[in-house]
Amino acid sequence: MDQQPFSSADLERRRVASRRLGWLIGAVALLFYVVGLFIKR
Amino acid sequence: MSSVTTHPAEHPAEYHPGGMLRWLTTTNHKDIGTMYMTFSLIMFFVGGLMILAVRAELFQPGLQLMKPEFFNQLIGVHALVMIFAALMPAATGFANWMIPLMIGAPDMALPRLNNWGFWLLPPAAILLTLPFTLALFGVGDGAIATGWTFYAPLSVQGGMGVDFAILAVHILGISSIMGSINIIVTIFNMRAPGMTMMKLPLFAWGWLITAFLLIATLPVLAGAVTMLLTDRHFGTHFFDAGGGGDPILFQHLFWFFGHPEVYILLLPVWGLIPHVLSTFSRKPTYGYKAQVYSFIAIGLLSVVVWAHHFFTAGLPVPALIYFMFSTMAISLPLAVLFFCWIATMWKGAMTFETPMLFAVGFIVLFGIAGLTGLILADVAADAQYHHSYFVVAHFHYALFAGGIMGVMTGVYYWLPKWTGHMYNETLGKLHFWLTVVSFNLTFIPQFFLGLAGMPRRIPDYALQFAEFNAISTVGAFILGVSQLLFAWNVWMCVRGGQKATARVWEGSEGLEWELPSPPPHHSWEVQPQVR
Amino acid sequence: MASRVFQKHNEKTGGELPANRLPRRLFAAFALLPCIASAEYKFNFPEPVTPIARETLHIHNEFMLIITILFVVVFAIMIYSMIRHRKSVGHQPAKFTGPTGKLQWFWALVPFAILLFIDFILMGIPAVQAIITMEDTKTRADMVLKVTGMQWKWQYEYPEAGVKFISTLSTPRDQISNAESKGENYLLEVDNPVVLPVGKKVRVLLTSTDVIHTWWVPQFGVKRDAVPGFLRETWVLIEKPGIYRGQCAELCGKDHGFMPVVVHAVPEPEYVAWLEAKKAEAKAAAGGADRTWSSDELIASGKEVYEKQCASCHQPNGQGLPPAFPALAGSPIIKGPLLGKDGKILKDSHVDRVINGKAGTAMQAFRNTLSDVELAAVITYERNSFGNRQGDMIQPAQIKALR
Repeated sequence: MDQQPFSSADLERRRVASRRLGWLIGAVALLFYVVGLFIKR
Repeated sequence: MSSVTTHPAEHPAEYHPGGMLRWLTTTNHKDIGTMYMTFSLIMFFVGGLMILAVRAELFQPGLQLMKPEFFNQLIGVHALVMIFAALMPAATGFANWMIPLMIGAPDMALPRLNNWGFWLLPPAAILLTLPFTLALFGVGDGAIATGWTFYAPLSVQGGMGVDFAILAVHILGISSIMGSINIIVTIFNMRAPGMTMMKLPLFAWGWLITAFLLIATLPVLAGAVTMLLTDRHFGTHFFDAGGGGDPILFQHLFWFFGHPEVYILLLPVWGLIPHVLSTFSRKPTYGYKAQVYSFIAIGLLSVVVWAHHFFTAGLPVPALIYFMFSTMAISLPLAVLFFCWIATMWKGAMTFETPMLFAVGFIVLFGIAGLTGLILADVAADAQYHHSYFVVAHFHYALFAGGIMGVMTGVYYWLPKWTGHMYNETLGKLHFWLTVVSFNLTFIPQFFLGLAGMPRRIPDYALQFAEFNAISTVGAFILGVSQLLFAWNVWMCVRGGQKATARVWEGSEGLEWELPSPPPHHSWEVQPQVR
Repeated sequence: MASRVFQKHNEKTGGELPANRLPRRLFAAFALLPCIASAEYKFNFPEPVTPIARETLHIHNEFMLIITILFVVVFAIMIYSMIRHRKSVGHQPAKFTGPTGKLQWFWALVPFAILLFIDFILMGIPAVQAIITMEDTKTRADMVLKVTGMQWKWQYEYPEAGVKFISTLSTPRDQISNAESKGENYLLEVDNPVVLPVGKKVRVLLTSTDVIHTWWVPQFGVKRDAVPGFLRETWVLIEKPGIYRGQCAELCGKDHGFMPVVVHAVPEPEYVAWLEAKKAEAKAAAGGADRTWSSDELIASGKEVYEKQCASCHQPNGQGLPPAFPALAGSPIIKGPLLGKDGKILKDSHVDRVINGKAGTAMQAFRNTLSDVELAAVITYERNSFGNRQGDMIQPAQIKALR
């Protein structure tokens, strides 16, 4: 199981992916918030 | 053997400010972790002082020290501080320090977000406590006095303390969401080669589930307190029957967040306890997969049990029956965790340094929390327990013995790694015993007070409750003073002490123990190789 | 054997955990629990006097026994391990990470199955039946008691008899502030207790005028929220005559701890007699609205009403606790006109405030809580006390007409 460590290009790609996913999760959180305001009994 | 790289060359072009500016602008996960832990310790004492004032008032029947209005402020702010400003930041501090080290990542995936997440906390803490100070100058009538649960319509009536608390909660929520996003993307994207998800340390798994729960439930809390704000100031009637609303809607929204919140507080601890048990039993963790699945099961179940916090509010019978059964179901994955913890110890070669003492104490006392939680779930008996001191005792077993002692376990375990020095072992053991004995002295009488009929959140009580209240207060003061030993030990350890090795503990396993103690400024400059 | 172990431990130096002392201590403590759970009321619920309370006590004792056994068994195993599987006694660590072989799988799954059985069958099924009975307020109900929570007192109503009264804490403030020694029923005594007949199923309806309160009488095993704008229900069937005391159990503001519940359960004939007397009282009070009252009479009567209903917020000297509870002394609202030029209630005037309250604050509407006489008296009192010198008064008959 001898794998190469990440190159700095790899790291950069992973960081970009992280930023994208981060914004997506933030959008989901915002969505929950807005939907929550409309919940009535 | 994983290969640790040689130390990186210096990077003179990097920006490394000193002093205050270093802490304000740092994006280093270790620095940020340290700030979280420091903030948490300070707020732990702030919250502790508040409740000691409360217990002093409750030492005897009659009102000796404070007006009821002030009492109501202290109990609510105590809870908000302990939950949002002590426990959660401590857990986040652990995450920041340890997750990158454990998964072989150079830092968190989003380091600047990390910094913002922390720096939102001190302003929020100030907002929570500012109304106390303002009231001293005659501005407003003090901090929020509705209890940490903010129930409407009482919270609609309340003074400006409620508005401050609403704003503080929003800010704390945003901070936690930022932290959760960071943790999720770091765990998904930044693991060293060879670290598959099923090799992820249990601490990281615990936090992964926690992060998802935070994102699912904090927005709902934010929505609920926003609706409260508009009911208070902008003419809405979400929680006002006269306007077509319903006070119980607030309870549904609040507890939809509130119940997962307690698992948010506990999952990081459940994630770190197996590490400690394995290390001090010198045995591999038992039931890794079972524990992972249990975390996931508990996370999923936690969002569908919320109404057990208000069984007496007049829910329809089918709802009562459903929530009773779903709540009891959580005992099953929890039992799996207990089984795995004990099975990890079983047939090991145990030693009982301070972290192990705290871990064992945690298992026993948190067991009491879980078992009393089971009987609270029984709707047919809950009418006697609800909003009585029985519940107060139960959740302190869960959140102090479970949460805080779990945090202390982690601190004693990892402090040598963070600082490079061993803490004082004798002082640590003394702290443990004083804490455990005084904690039980404080809260066991409270179980009996609840059974005897004493309600929660009252500043004065009938004479038959006097004895147990007095005992509880004595226990509380010993408990409070004992924590000074902890603060002293931590402080001295930061300053110096016997040098710690990379391994620190004889039985420790994992990437984090392959770095020196303390780790260099850039933890994993080159990724390690995972076996 | 224990003393030899103890000796050996003493010979050691250094901070090794005295794990051998721990198991005995723990066993001793928890062996006591089942006894405690079943017999002594100081460590358990007070004596039950309704079917619901008895059922609750039974469930509680059963569950306490079960969790005590679970606790003792599980931690006996753990403590055994802590003693035997230690490095200092030379135990070598094993390497297993999961069950291997059928026997170990059995040991792993059996606790799970036991817990499943306890939760869903042993305790769950009887609980369902109990819940259905506890929530069934209507079957064979003999009478209705309506409970209204208010900040910070209870109002009780017997709708079928037309009897209505307020029940306020009667413990003197001096006892609370430690100026006087405390009476036996400190904080659990009221001026007007609820009276209920023994042996009859009472359907209890609950609501509130302001915030959520909770009506709780431990010996009845009954606790139900009083939610403003909604009607909740529960029931009691008191089996034994006596005086039963409880408290509000939902944080409702500053005097949450000072609004107790007191119920006198009496044999039915006594209850009927009491109800008749109350009806007569109500009639007399209503009759008061038909005559003309002098200013002095109104002020004297108003002072009594003020001290019971208003002083906790606006203070006995009318200084209030601003900003939440405004001062009445020198209040611009009180200095304003009594009624409009057309003889009707002016919006936001003194009379409007007392009768209709102020929405969004703790100032409740007293229109349904106080009688015409009481309203007229307290308004007159406030206008002529605390340094206020309006010199006017309002008659009960006027209040009646304004409703």
